[in-house]
Amino acid sequence: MIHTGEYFERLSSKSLEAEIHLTGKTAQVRIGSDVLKENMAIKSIQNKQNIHFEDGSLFVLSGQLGAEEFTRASSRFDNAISWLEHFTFKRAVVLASILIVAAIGYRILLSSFVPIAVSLIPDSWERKMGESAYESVLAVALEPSELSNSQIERLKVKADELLEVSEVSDSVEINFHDSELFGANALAFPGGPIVVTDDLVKLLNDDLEILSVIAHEIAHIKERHSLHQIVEVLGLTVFASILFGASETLIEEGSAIAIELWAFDLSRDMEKEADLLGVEILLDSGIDPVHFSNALTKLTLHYCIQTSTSQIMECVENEGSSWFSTHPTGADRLKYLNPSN
Amino acid sequence: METLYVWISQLRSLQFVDLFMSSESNQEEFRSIQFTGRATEYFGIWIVNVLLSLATLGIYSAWAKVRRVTYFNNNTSIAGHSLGYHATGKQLLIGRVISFVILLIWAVTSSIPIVVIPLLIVTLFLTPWLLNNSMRFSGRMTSYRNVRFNWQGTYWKSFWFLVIAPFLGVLTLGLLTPLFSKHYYRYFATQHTYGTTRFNAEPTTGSFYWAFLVGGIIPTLVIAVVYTGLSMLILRATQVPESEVMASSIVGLIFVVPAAILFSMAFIYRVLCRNLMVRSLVLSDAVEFHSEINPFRFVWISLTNLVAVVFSLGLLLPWAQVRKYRYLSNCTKYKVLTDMDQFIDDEVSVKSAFGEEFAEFEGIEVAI
Repeated sequence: MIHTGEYFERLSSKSLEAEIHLTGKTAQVRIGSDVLKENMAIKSIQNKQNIHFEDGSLFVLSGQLGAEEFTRASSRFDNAISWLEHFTFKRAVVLASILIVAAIGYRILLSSFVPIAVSLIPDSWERKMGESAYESVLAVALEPSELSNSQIERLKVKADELLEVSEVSDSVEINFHDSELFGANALAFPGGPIVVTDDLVKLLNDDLEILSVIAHEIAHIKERHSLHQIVEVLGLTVFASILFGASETLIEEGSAIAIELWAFDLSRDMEKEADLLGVEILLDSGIDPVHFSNALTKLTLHYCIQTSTSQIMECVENEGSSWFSTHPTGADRLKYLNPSN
Repeated sequence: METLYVWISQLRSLQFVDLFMSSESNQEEFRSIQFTGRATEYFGIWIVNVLLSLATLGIYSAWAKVRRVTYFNNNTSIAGHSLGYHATGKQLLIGRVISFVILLIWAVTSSIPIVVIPLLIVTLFLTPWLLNNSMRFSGRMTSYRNVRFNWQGTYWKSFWFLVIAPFLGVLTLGLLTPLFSKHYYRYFATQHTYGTTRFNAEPTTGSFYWAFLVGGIIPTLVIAVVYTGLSMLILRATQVPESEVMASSIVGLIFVVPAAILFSMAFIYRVLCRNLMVRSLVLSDAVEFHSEINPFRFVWISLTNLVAVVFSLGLLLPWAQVRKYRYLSNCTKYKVLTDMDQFIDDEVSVKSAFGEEFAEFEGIEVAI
């Protein structure tokens, strides 16, 4: 079939009024009755109107190509994709449904894939990550402990017993540090070490309560929670970047925030898991889990006094975490640790 | 009344009012860039892109990018001719694979503390090279009337104008930001060519200082004042002791002011700068350009798009992208002064998409 339009020579914006005769994937260009070019191989057809040739020239049709000619001139791959992309309400509903099912499926798949992926990462890698992270934090936020050596040694010996009972590698170190940034806190780095702050030791002022917090941190290491979180967040980020792309700043930020919220939710679940496993470790070591409840009560009260300007009791009794919390609230934790109360 | 007129005239001479609107005579001569894409049409492309990318574990995403950019370019029309896009999926995939491998090695090695600082230095010095390659690739893959665009920026100039100067602007607490912005936008415009013909732009420094005042400082102050007023009202209503009301509001400002500055600079000031650059943009003696994006309308479109995308679980993303692109196209105008037949291209061939893909992975881009 013959079409009219504008012909552009290679590397030129100068247009010539011409006719094009399409025969499958090749074309002939004529100006009036003169044949300008023959057997021109079509490279691509854009917008069913702009025919780009392998030799760098271009023919812009005055109208659009018919469906049949477009199909004949395009590759099988392009035709298949174009067929899928063609919008009809029915097809859109079907594809949107597939997408939603795929998203849910991906989520489920990710949940089952994460433990497998985590199990494939050697312990030595995890420990290296933990050591490296610890060194970075040490440089900026941790100071040498001001506790007495005898107190540190006493706690370390008892903590080693917990490590032995929990069957976590005995190479996990328990380090004591003074830290203005972390305040009364304990941290578990991937594969160890565990850091306990001086403020926490002073606040709890009871070896069994301190050990109960260490048991909670050991539970994090035993369950490899940090790695789980890294792998799951990475998987979700890949999914979000495929879905939303990287071209829209605000939408990109929005998806990053959604992933953060997801990570917070995941973190709360892991904290609960560590609480419950920590209790088991305490029981196996012959320590009454009530010490952990006592420690949590002291920590919650301390947090409320520090952060709330008023209504401290309301803060202490407040149930239900916010979306932005990495931990369940103290009230929530005490409730599931002591369901009979 | 006469005083008001004189005052407005003075402001106009300082290009303050021109930041938001243009004179009527200008509007008559310029024509909008046409965008003929439709959300329903693009939805088909987008959803197939997402599904095939998921099914192929991301491999199809290279072809998906080609389909997406080709659709937007092909539906962007200037003086009756649309833009073309010529990158291939294979080209982009190779660039992505190389970028992915390098970034993986990067991520692993960056966990070693001793390597962090050297890596940051390497990244800093790699940035202008990546930006140049990314913009060169993007330009060479885009055509209009069979002539490709190009980027002529050099390593050290890109390093100064696009990397160091904007950073120095921040260090001067914003005092030199408008001056550096002017050079940033001017450099971006003048290093682009259409075939062998360079674009030119000569925006004035004064207009960028006005843009900074109107788009950066005033919105920040307004947000800070509104926040303080609202927070004091709420705190009083919740019976917080009077002594704590002011303290809490001031503490809140520590977070609100930086956020307000970032928001104003990213959404209002940036749009005003783009307007200023495009208004002084010319292509030889053949085409003049004009831009009249209203920053408040732009912010409204961006925020409502975000809400629509969130509440539709992402399904309205194609609509949001088409809506934003159409607004930007309609607000960007041109005036053809001579015929467009005179332009020729050169033989520059760019095959590797590595720079473009690596910059995209790393989020390194020239924000215009």
